[in-house]
Amino acid sequence: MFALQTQAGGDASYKEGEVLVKFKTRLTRAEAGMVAGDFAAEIVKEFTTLSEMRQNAYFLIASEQRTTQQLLDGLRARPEVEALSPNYRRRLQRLPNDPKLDQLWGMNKIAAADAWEKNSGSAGVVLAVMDSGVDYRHEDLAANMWRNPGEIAANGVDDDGNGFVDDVYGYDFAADNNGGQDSDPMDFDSHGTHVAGTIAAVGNNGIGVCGINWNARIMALKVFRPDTYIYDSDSIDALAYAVLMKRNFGVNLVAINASYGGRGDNRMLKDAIAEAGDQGIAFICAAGNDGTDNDTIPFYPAAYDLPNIIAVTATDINDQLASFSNYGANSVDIAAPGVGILSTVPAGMGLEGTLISGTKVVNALPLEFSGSTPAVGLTGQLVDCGSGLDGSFFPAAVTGNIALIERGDKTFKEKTLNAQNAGAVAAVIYNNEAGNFSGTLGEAGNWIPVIALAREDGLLEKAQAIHPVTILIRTSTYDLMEGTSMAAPHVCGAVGLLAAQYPADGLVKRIARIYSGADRLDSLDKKMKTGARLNLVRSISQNLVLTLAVFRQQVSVWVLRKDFAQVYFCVENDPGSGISAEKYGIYRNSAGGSFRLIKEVAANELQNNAYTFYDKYLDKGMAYSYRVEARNAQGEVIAVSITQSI
Amino acid sequence: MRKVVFMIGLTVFFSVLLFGGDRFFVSAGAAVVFPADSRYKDFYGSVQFGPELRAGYDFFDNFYLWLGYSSFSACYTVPVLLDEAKVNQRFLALGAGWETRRGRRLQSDFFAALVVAELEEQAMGETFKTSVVGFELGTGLRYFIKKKVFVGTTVSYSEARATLVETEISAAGRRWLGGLRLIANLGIRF
Repeated sequence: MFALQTQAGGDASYKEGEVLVKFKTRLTRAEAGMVAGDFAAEIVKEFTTLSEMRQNAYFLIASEQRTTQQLLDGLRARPEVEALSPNYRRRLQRLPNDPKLDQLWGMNKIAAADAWEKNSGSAGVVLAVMDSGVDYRHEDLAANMWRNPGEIAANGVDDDGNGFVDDVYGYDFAADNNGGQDSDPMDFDSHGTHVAGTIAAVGNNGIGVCGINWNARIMALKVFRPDTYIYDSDSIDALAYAVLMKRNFGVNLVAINASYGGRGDNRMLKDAIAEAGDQGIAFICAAGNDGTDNDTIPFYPAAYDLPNIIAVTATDINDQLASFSNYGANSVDIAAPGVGILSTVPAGMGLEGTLISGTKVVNALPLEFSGSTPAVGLTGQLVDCGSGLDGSFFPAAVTGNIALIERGDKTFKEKTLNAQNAGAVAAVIYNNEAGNFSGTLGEAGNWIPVIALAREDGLLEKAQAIHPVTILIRTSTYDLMEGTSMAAPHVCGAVGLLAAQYPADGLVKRIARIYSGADRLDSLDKKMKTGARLNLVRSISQNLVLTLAVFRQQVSVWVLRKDFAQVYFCVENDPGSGISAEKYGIYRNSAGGSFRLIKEVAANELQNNAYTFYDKYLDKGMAYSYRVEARNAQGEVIAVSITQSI
Repeated sequence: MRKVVFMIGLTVFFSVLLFGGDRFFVSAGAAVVFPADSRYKDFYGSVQFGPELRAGYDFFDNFYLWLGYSSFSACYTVPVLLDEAKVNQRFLALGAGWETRRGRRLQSDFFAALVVAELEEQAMGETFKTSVVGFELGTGLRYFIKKKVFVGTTVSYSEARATLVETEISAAGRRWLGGLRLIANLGIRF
């Protein structure tokens, strides 16, 4: 019996009464409808593009009389059915604001500035954001939005005949909670716009931030319903649209960012992602924000073992795995900055703060749900209230003034309440360790203005005893977010930048450049396949690229037969690069185990920069994954191939 | 214990040799085998060689019972992997035969037997073993170069069919063990 998955560490929620069905053959809608009718269900939609490409029939069916489990149990017994899944719904992978002082520290960490010396992006490269939509009017995004050249805006006509009316910037596959669609992928959340900004906010325009690509085109694929979930049926539709536009309309779409996920495993979603891979489209996924091991508790779609998927986890400014980040030695590929990431948000959805103390103007970070200040700011005496743990920490002078509080021991909410109860009109919370922090008051309410300050700035203020300051909190079109959602677009942007620099590269090589150039870090070792954090300049300058291909074959003698793998890798090393590998290691894992070295190859064993290794005696039915690492004379890993599974 | 069994066996053998009254024979020879299974020949070749041992007892008139052992083996280098595959077929036969009247220097015989055939193949880190029952038919000529010593030639056909089921290491299908054998042997009657 098909049982719905309920796994520890996260829910696998789905739309009750709906089931995604993959039929073995290309049934017509009427034929599929008859099958559905046997279970008091009806066809909601056919995924026609996927059906056509895969030569199966994919449908979403729904019933008002049967539960999803009943539909699954019934359909499972039908011989026409190849695969079934609940219509899982997934979550955006963000967390409440937790910004860092260095506003674009992520770009610095991945050495983006040096990479931009070589290439800052191309308008010929399209990157799709499958998310809550994109604010395509944003001052820092509008110029980089993809515009469908075959479509005339808002004329109510499918001008290019692609089956979608007025799909100018992309499409909204999640216009309502019932699977309705429309042509407007505007972001009414902020998540997708934030992701888009990291990928390709306009660079060098004198305003706001810049993305990994200063110049690229963002296709908006909105899959975020008003009920705040992302349903697999909408994702499949969005993927089919992306593939259609690339395959039939020549759009140079090189990557899709999917900063969301959940626990349910859905074969049909996997098929749709694989189809994108067949079209040369990388699919960049957030690894998840549960702080759990994806090897043990898979998080989809990141955990699908597909060569076009890059599963990205988040690191902080100290190159440590972020506390919330999911990880997985066999299921997560690479890390990228994902804590306190500043990027674009729709107008009014961001907050920015300033503290003016004497002649000094300090950038500060408003806490989430903080009260606002008048446009001219809120001025008062700054009164040191220690750590603000209870009322006794607040001197009488704080009444009608601004409380200066050290972070620690109690929540921001409790400290702010204490300050409010003591009569403070605003609060400044400074960090208890170096740098700034982000935080939240937990819930919306009638809060006084509260800003976060770096410890260094806080201590300077504290040293001055009571003195006048002005706090200014205003809405912004930029904001800080954190999560693996914010890490993934760094990698998606990197794919775009590499496509601009090396347009002739195939998908495998493009991904290999990213892995090869990444910085190996002890803190990430055994936490993901590469054990490395994205390094943009090394990836774009990577002179040593390992390309790996693995083929599973079977050999038979009279009675016995056995599988083996033909593991082929080739090395491209630009002349004069100064980089050379001493040896190469071929690593393999199986059954979710750790990668282990199965063959070491000296550089002089390569013929024409290539090497073929036959990995003998594989077990039938067992899946294996391979990757190759190149090491220099010091034993340091200088390049890593993508992981190939058979 | 083994020594005791061996000594008893040796005693029985020599007793029979001395007092058997020409009702027994033993022979040893070499066989050229043309395997029956075409797929086998694809891997291991169409001509093989192996030993042949026989013992018989004339139990009635010109009829005799016989027990035989034969085997052949071959190797094959697996392409690409360059692994060596080895195969071994062993046959234990128990049957009856009829021979032309004794006392002449040249005799001929016809025989049949039930055969227990064992197949063993080793390749790619795996070993497959199975035993099946088959049959053997044949005919031969013996020429007595001395009163009790003969040389002979035999042609026989043995066949045993193994029906394999799908396993992790083998595909389902039939394999034919045995084949046509041409044997040259040397024997004694006692």
